[in-house]
Amino acid sequence: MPIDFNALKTPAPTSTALTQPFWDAAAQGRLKIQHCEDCGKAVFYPRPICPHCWGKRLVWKEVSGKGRLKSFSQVHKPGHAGWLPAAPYVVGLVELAEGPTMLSFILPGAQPPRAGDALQLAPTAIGGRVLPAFKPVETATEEEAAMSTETKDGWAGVVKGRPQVGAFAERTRRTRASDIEAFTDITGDRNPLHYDRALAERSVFGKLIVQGGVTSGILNALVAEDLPGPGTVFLEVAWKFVKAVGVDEEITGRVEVKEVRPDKPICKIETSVRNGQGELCLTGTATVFTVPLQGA
Amino acid sequence: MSRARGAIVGIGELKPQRLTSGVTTLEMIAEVSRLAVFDAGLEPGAIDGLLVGPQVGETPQHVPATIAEYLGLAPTMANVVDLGGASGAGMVWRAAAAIEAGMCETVLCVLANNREEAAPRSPNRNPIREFDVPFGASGANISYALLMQAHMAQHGSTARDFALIAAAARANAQLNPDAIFFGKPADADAVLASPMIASPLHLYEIVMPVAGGEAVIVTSAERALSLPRRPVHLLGAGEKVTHRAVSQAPSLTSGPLKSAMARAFAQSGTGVKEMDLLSLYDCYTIMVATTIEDAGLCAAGAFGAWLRDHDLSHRGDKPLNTHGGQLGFGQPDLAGGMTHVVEAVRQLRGDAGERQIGKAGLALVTGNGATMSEATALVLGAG
Repeated sequence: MPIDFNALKTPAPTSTALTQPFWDAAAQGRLKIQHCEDCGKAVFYPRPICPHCWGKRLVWKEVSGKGRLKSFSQVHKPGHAGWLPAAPYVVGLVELAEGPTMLSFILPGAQPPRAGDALQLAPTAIGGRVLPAFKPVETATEEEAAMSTETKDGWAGVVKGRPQVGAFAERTRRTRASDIEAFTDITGDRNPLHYDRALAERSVFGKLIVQGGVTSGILNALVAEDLPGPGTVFLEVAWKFVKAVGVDEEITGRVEVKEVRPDKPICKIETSVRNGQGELCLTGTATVFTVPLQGA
Repeated sequence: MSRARGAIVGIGELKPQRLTSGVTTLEMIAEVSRLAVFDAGLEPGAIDGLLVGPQVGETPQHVPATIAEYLGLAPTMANVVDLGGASGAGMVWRAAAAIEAGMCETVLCVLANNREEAAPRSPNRNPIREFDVPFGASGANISYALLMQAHMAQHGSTARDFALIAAAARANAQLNPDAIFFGKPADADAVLASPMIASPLHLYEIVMPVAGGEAVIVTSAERALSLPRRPVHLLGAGEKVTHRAVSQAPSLTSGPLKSAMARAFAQSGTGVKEMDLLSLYDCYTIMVATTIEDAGLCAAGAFGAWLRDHDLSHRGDKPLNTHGGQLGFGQPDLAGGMTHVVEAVRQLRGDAGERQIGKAGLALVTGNGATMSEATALVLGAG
């Protein structure tokens, strides 16, 4: 018999005036969290100041409702008697696509939960109130899932193996004038913005800048050396070059795995390059393929 | 190795009990304080510093003054240390620091708790109560289950790897007649057969709550020379506090003890491989696993193989929680963390009786509070 979660006598949230917008949104089946207008980061749980930068310009925004299961537990002996009729039930740590992690109730899916599962907001009436619970995103029907477990591991033979969703890697280097010349050697790009200092300084950039390929090149190194690792090539990229990089500037590239195909060594990654001040210079996503270099 | 920053010269411990009836926490604090002061060969009047825990049921505020008055003390330094299971270890370095600062000379560090049948629930209104409890997550069991599941997912560790930790604690408890699980060994199969509480956490991987009390006396290394007991020196300490709710943890598989231990080793000029005793806070098996890895005893994720390569008994190559740990001894609430200090002092003095380890020069003591949130590490040395 399915459990009527709404009939449970579970503890109600102890809301305050500050946190009330979270619970008001929850009651409407929505998930709203604070965002800091000063540092741009999402904040959970609600606070009067941003815990990242201590700014006070916090605004409430509805989130995408997408998340990833960082960890979970099937609770057999609840800590509160009100939950006894529902046991065993699953709670999990949900890393929201916007960044922060919240604890939530995880509705059962077709398969037992696994760390790394993609989740979707699933507002659920529990204990007489609607709470922002989550459910697994069913990527395939049960039949297909059963079949896919029989097919071979698409990442067999990949040097560093199958990456985890949420895994990330970073690399830092300092740009040099010789980068510009090397890139010209490869491509023939002799744009005066890279060579004519006086002209470059009068331009919107105000300085000599390196070619975009020098900036994005750090991402080639990241995917090929670190994550997913040796054998990786780009299949598709969607990059915005939002700030130019000058000569003798420190840049830090970052890749984070967002989706991993089980059947083929293909994953989607989030990519960024920041300068020494932490300002975003390149942002976007990419799809990469990792050639299995080890004899399968 | 660096100089002594202070010395532990007396210890007191109450035998843990499942329940008490009509006994106040203040009464138990008095009993265990008396044991520690007399063990140190001191008169009560010698105590001029007092560090206490926050959970004294009879008085939510003015805790040090209430205890000082109850014990007839007039300390020149008094404070509450509120770091959960790290409070005991946290008291030891604070006592030494207060002595070095010239505020006092001899400090009583005491934690005790009664345990009545119907304990009232605390009227929490903190973020955990608002944002975790309504979703079905009440209590530490679920938080540590989440940490354990994350370790399994990230490193492929197994239920049996964790069960070995509980089994070793139970085995060591068979040499401690005061331990709540004395006479009740449990091997890894028994741990895995115990009821699932919150997956992947089994009942025997969770400490048993008990009533009890622990106290230590800290004084200067110089003063220690005139006292009867062989002093145990504080050689280094480290501490770090990172979060409270498990959802806010910076990492689920490595904790603040990592940097706390690094500081304690740096201060003391020692390394983890030199430790003759590991007295590691063990509220749950996952806490020991993470501490072994964070201490650098093995690579991240490799604690299971490490456990199989080492003997954790008093006769073994890596004695770990020779008193049975809290998993074997029982957890007298905040005093549970102090059991790791008291056992280390016993071993370093050579007073551990039939469970005495061979070479007993250096010990690592860790404390941990909340959900791998509050961390204190001490390096202690035989004086």
